[in-house]
Amino acid sequence: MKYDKIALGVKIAMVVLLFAYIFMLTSSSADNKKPLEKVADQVISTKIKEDTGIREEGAKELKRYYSLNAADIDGFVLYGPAGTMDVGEILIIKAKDESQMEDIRTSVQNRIDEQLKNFNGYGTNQTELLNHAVIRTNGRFLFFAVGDQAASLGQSFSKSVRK
Amino acid sequence: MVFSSIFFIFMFLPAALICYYLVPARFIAVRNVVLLIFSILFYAWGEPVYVILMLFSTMCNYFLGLDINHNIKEDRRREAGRTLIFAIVFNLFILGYFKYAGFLISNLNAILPVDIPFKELPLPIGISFYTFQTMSYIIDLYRGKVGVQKSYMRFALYVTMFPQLIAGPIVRYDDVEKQLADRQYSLTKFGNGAARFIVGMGKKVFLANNIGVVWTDISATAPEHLSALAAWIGIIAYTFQIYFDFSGYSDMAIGLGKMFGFEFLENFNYPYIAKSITEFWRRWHMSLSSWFKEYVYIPLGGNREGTAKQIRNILVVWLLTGLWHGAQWTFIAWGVYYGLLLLLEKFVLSRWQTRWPAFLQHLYCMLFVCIGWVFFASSSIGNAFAYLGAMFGFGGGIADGTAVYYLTTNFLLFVILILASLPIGRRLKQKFVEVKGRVGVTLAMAGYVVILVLTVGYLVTESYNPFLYFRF
Repeated sequence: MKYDKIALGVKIAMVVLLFAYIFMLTSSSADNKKPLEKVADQVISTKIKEDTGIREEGAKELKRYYSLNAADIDGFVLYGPAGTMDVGEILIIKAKDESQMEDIRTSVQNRIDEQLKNFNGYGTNQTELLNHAVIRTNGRFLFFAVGDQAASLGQSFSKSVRK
Repeated sequence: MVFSSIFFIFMFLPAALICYYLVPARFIAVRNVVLLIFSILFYAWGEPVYVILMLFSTMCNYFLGLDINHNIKEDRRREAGRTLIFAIVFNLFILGYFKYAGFLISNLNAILPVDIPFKELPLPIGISFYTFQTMSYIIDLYRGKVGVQKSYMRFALYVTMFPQLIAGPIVRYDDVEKQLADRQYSLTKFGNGAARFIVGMGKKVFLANNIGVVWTDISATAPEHLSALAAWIGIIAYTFQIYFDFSGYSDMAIGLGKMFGFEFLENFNYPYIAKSITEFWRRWHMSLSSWFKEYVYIPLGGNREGTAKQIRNILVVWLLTGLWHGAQWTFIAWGVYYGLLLLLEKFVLSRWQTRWPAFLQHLYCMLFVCIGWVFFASSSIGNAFAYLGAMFGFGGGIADGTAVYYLTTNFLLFVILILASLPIGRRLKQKFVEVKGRVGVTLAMAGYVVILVLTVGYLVTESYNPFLYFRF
């Protein structure tokens, strides 16, 4: 009897711990108070800008590439492709609230689909990079990158916005 | 971390091997701990958050195993059965939540008038593989096929061992139970392991990655602009890519296992030489098909309870096989497609199939395998049918200059891929070594060194290229 009680207790503890873990993962772990500029500085180094040739863009390009209005979001940092045959870009967005995140993510996905169409059939390297584009979200932050270093930049972003 | 990366080959693997072999062979418990630590580091490299999930799952299954064993020893079969059911539900809940909940809720949201809120999490890498491994232990323990594992270290090592953690083969506890406590080491075994690892890496880097470029290019073209010839070249390229990618990974896993003294079962046996779909599945991802046979098909009654139940059982197994690969309708369609094909072979074609000329049997098998990969590789059922349409002339015509360009520029690669899919290379090597003796062995070793050097050369210049099966 005593054994049964212990065994039952262990099973209940397993279920409770599992739900606690899932709750921890699903509840926002982002430092939403962190300024966007600080996140951008920690993720995008000067060396990355020089190596990739990406250039800083503004609200007009945000609208053109992603159909997003700068006024609707808290802030953004956008680096666009260096030339017409380049696909390298980095975008970090801070939304006004978390309910905007899904729509922003969809806009970014549409941008990838659009770029894939543009390079369809002749841009093997560009298509390859676009297929390995990185999108990460945490709290009110979204990170998007295309390029050789997209995966490592994504990791830096996750570290930067973590509480 | 990827096996085919400079960091793994020149830093992680040598460090793991040195630390492992610095411990004398008689201290196997210490060697197990060393391998366990490196396995956790390997996993944590990419997914530090999910290490907790993997270790938690391991710990829970370890305790559930002890509980089942205790109840069986006390002759309390019913309580043991309850724990078994708890363990299966618990494991499937973890797999289901992390892998399928998003898919289920997005489909429900599409048909329901209300939106169920859900935060989708990234898929924990290797979750399908290690969940199936822990379940095989729990079920076999209940059946009395294996003994209980009282050492947590050994059990954790069984689940997390880095050579097979991320993309299989799915190692059944039964197959490594004895090896966790005692394994044989020899220089020959280590050498064979290293050779197998190099061959696997060559398959991935030279063959899979190069032919993968053709598929990436062709699949990026809208199906309505794709000629039938280009569509066929594309899907044949993918057929080779997925085989050399996945079997290359399995070779590396089996080779690494040998280097650490383990023997894992084979996962592939030249699947593209099969003459029927039934035979294809006896040769492709053997650890997964045997898992479903052992833990789903046979418990459901297999072929012992009449034709109607056998048909049901086959369809259930193949639906689950499809679903195991991912939370997408395309994978479900792919699984059901194979279920139907296998039923067709079993109940209709089997009478005539063996009388067909061998060439026709191969052609039939590969035709349906290629069609199957269209579902597997597509992002939606609509895209799959559009691509299939292109393959049968409903896209951009029958042939075009682009298709001829792909064919001519990759002709040699296709010839190499066909030859590498056949057991010719293995037989030639065996014969060569037998006839030439020591000279043959030396030349074979030189061959492996050449492959290693060339592969490293490729890896230095190549961008990150993970294995296709990592997403399962």
